[in-house]
Amino acid sequence: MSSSPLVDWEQAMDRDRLSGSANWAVEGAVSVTSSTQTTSIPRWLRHASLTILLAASSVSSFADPWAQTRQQRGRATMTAVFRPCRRRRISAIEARRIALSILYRAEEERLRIAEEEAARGIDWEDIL
Amino acid sequence: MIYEYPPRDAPIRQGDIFLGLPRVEVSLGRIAVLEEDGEMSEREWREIAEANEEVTAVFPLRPVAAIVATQDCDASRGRDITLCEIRSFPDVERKSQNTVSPKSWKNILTQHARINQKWFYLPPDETIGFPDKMAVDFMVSLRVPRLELEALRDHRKARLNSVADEHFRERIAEFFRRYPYDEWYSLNEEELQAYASEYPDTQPFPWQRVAAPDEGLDE
Repeated sequence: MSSSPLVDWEQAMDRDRLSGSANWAVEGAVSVTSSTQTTSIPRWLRHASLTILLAASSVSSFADPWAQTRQQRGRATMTAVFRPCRRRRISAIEARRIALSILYRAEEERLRIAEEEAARGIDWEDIL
Repeated sequence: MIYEYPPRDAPIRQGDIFLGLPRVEVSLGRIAVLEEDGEMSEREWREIAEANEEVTAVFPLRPVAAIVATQDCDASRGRDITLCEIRSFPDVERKSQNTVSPKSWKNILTQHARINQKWFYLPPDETIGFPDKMAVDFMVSLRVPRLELEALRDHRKARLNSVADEHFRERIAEFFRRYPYDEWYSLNEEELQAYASEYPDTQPFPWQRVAAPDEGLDE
């Protein structure tokens, strides 16, 4: 399978508008600022390079609500077999970039929504 | 302040504050999967879900501060414990990012807290390692195995005292008990007009009529 063009992951990794995680300090460590104006990658984000391998199991203690009967599953699987597979081989480095882009997007969206919410309602600075 | 510092062997309780717990970020879009042949591939989660497939995927995780949300009975017996992330207060409540005066803080931490039920305020505490105002973000939850969290009890830095603990319990319950409703349903014509001027997408209820901008009050 041919590779699709790479997304510009380097651009994603240079984003500097992410909010910090917990603004806490422990003995021997340095507190992380929550500034969204940092020009370098925050310390917490450097530690965010840790990635994990998850086993996403569909098995649960009881039938999942969306799990289908064997007959229906057979049809669904057949459908999936004939649906074009959009699998693309990637390197471990690309896998890491995909993972980190998930993180960046999540933090950006969370910040955006928080900003939108803050823009609504009362401005407490104006209350005398 | 509002914290207690339990001994290491104290059972895990709702309101316990931990540092350094893993927060995972997942995606339901395109993810990196480790295939059976040892190769990595980029795949759509939808495709995996529709095939009812068990996969091994790569997601980012990082250590964060968090507070136990699971109530005490489940925290002592359940397989997993749910926590909510603790972050810098201005990160969670963006209204406060430029707040400086004590009066403004007072307004936000008391009055605005009643309006925005999505967070719980935690004051600074050097013992814990909170140099600034912090907040529990009810929108961000973590799930960790109970037994492993118990083994990591040295990461527990404090717990809420009884006053704060009761308030936290009620606040988190309120957060999950909220239900969506169209807040304009009881506004009269002029009030609805004022509301709609701020929120143009407002759809009036059948029993409401929105006054046109050029309509006078003496009709």
